Amino acid sequence: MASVAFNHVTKKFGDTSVLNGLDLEVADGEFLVLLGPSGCGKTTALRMVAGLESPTTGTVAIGGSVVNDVAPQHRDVAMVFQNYALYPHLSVAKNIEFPLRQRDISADIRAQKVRDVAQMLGLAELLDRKPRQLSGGQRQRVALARAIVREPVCFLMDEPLSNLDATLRARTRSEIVRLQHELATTTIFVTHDQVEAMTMGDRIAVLNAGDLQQVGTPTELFENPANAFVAGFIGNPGMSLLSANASQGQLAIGGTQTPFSASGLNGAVTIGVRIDGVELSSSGIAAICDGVEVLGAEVHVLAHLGDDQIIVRQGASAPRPKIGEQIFIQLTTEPLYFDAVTGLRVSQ
Amino acid sequence: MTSDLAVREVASPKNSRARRSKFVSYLVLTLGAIVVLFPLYMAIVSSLLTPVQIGQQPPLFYPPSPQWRNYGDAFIGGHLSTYLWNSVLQTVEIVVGSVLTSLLAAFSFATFEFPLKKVLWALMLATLLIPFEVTIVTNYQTISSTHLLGSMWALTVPFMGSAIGIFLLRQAFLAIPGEIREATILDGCGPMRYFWRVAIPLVRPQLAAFTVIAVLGAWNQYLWPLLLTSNDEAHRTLQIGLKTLNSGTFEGYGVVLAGAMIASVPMLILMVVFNRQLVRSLTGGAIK
Repeated sequence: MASVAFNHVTKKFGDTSVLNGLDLEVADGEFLVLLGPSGCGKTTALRMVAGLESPTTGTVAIGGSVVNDVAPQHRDVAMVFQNYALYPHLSVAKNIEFPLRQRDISADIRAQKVRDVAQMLGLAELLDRKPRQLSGGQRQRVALARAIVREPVCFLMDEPLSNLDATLRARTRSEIVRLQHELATTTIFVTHDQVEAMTMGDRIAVLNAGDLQQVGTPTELFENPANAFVAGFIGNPGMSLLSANASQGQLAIGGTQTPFSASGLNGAVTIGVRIDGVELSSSGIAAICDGVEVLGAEVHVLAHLGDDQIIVRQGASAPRPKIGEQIFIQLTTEPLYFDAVTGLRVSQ
Repeated sequence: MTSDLAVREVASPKNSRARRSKFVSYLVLTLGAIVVLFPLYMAIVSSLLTPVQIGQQPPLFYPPSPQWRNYGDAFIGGHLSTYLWNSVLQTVEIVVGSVLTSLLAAFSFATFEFPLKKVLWALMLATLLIPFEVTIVTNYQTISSTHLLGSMWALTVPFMGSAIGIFLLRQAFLAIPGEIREATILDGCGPMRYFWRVAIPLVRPQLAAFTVIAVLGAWNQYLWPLLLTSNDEAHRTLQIGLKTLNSGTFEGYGVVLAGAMIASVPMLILMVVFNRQLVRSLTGGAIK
């Protein structure tokens, strides 16, 4: 087990900057999720820990030692790839055994380790099969087994669940978390799925356009987002972000006064409201209905106010607005405030 | 009964169209097969005829009394056994050499970055455009100056590098997902271990196809062995040996054709055994 640290790491591909001075520490035994949209630099950061990419500037350290010049095979990290990267010509047993064969480990010990890991992941019956004879979930487990059998100091997982169907993904999520707790191995897990991040990580590091936005526990990120990007990205659905105006201690949205005071604020401001902080009403902030999503026990009404989108929850039996119809919204809890220009959280 | 009729009514036009299309396909394929196989059939028939029967008009389409001794004359009297062995040796040397060099060169082009890589690749591809006949004199000079004349190496060394092999195998190596290569790196594999343990097994179909192409090319060589072995009977290959069957030692074409049949048997066996790999490789990539 070992900690991992990024110190002022930048990465450029030609003129394109992918990471802009990343500073991040992953504690020994921690499960850290790198979360962000496509192209935000999260996979690049992961590949730098693996040694598959080199930082343009800055250092990556594993267990306190800078590993910039250490070859990937000497970093003692194991990676689970998005497409599993199993060796198609080898059986499940040979796939799991492969990393052990590259080291001076006797055949008896190798066989024992393969059996143990296969048992742990429910692969004991599949050891003689080839990867093409396995389902997506089974392949995923083989990829995990190949990583675990090496007993590395750090697991690196690059969107390993993205090829699984929704049911299997949910099951595998909890399986990975259970394994990580059992093994207590430092794990960096890359995903663009905030549900995965919220349910799996001890902490989440949110990246956007190469910049680290915020690091914290899932609850911290959900309740106290540092900026509008994190607020809109975290949660299912994310916060609705609306342009508002604060004047003389009053907050107005689209010209409609809200019951919340905005003392200490003045001028244009962005407010963030969670789905449970707004409701449909017979009067209030006017918006146009864009659609209705029926989710079983509840219904989400999607609407827009000018250029801003908002989502409002409704009971399943409540009358549903039609697309294009004008609706009225009331804020029921005090929103979060963000600077209209920088997007940073502002306090009253 | 009603449902049967309904099914028949619905299915009938489609079925009859499909049957017609299938019939036309088979008809065209059958005609094609006849056009291709008829000369071969006539060669087999003629190899079992006497010189008089071969010259007969109209020609005979079957051997009334098969002359099996034509095969004996060709194999023993015409020294085909020696030539056959030389051809086998020559083919094995060329195939082993060209497969090994092609694998290594293709792997390097596909995996490593090195100075002038693009230029070297373009030069290598350009050699595909040069007919062998153009290089025959310089090849002869090279073989002569390296004192290989009069040895089996003279017949094989110039063919131990193959641009088509490098091209085919490079494409195959490039098709291996990058994640597999990266997984082997993290698992502790160096480039050569990756090459032997992972990359080669994954390009086996293309490797088999190239091997078949290389075997056919080596086995059917004519001009180069003719140049080198016209006065060197000890290293003469089967294709050149066949020509000597026609030099007046034997009467008529029966023995020559029997020799040709003997020469084609090893290739027929090879094609039957590796047919699937050959077709798979040549059509690979057509459908994702």
